[in-house]
Amino acid sequence: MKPKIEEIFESLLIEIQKGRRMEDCLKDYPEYRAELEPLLLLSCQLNGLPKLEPERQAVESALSRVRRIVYEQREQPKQPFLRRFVTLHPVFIRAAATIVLVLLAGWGGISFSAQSLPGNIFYPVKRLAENARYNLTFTPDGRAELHIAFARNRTGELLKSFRPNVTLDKRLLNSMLNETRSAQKGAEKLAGAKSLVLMDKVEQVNRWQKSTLEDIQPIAYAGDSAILCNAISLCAQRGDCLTRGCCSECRYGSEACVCPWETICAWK
Amino acid sequence: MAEKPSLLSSGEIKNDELIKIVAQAKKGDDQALESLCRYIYGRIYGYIYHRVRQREDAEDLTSEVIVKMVKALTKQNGNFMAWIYKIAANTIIDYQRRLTSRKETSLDELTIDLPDKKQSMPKNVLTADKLKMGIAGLTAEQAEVIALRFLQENNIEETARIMGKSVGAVKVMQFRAIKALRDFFRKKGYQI
Repeated sequence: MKPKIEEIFESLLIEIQKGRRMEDCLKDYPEYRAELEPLLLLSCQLNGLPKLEPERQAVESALSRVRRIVYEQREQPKQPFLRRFVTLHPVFIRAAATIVLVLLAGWGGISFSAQSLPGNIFYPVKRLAENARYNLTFTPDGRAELHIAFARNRTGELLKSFRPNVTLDKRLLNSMLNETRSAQKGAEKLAGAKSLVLMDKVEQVNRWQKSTLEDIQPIAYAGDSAILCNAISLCAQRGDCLTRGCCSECRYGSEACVCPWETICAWK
Repeated sequence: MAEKPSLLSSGEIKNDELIKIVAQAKKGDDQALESLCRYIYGRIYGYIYHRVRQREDAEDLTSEVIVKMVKALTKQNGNFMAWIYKIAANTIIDYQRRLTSRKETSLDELTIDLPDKKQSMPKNVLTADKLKMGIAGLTAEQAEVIALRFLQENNIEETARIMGKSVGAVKVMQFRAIKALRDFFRKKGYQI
């Protein structure tokens, strides 16, 4: 492939720089001679121009500026590392401020949402925080404790959100009963005194749920009557089971204990 | 004690010698720093002068480049001369931005007249004054490649590195710049 004229020009410049005569160089490319000769002549003249020398005064003036800067840099008191780091990195300051703001907003949001009820815009934040807390708890007893706490929360929410003759929040009721069931299952899996303590707590929550449901049943919406009956019955049976220590779910350990989960599951 | 490299303010220095001086200057050696500043001033002044074409401005800008170099010297990595030319190129760009009121002159619009053809000045000799006018008619990139390649005598690889372009692109640019310069002088009646 024929080299481009720009390539030839560059190679000839190098040859001339090495000391080869221009005339000899051009003999290698006779077809480009007419075009390249004046350009090479001009390049040689450019190379041969006397070098521009700066005025001594200008150089000295620049050097005195440099000396002043160096002096100032050395005289500057050394700042502590962290302060120097923060001063030198505005990005760090922005990142830190963002993290603090996010944490504050998160903490504020969670605190604010703690008292929220279903239907409130902060309620999903509350549930999200609960889920996060649960996922960050890795011990079985810790998780069982959390189920107990969540069961209490749901019972409180059911009580606060209840309005006479207004239909119940079925999802909330289901969630309340499910949390108690999970707490019971978690407590059963544990051994020894810890299990007994947790079973006792589950039993208390279950009793509170039963009494709550019994309190609201007479003034509840007529259409919810059957569901409330079922739920109260479930609480009663679970209370029985907890007292007797017979079963938590589908393990029919006693004739008196009939597992009611199918009914509850139908509400989902 | 390590031997200090010799450095003449106006002379050329080898690359390995420059590396040593830069390393010493980074460590806080005042003498090395001063030698480095003198050497860089000499190299950069010509480059800046051919780009801005005003002696006072070139001096101010060179001084600015030297100050920037000293302030950032400890953070410098890689090829030192490429780094310096990059600082100089950016300083020139900032300077040109400041001169927004000055209209750019293209080769065709150039109104600067060269001395009359009838004068006794030899027509085939390129002088610094003629060159100054010739370069004024080039584009910014063409002027830069002429300054770096022919006046500063950087090789094609160094020029490409400084300009942030490929070697091939610089070859094409240099060829076109020389052609544009030749056309300019021919238009003005010079036998170049």
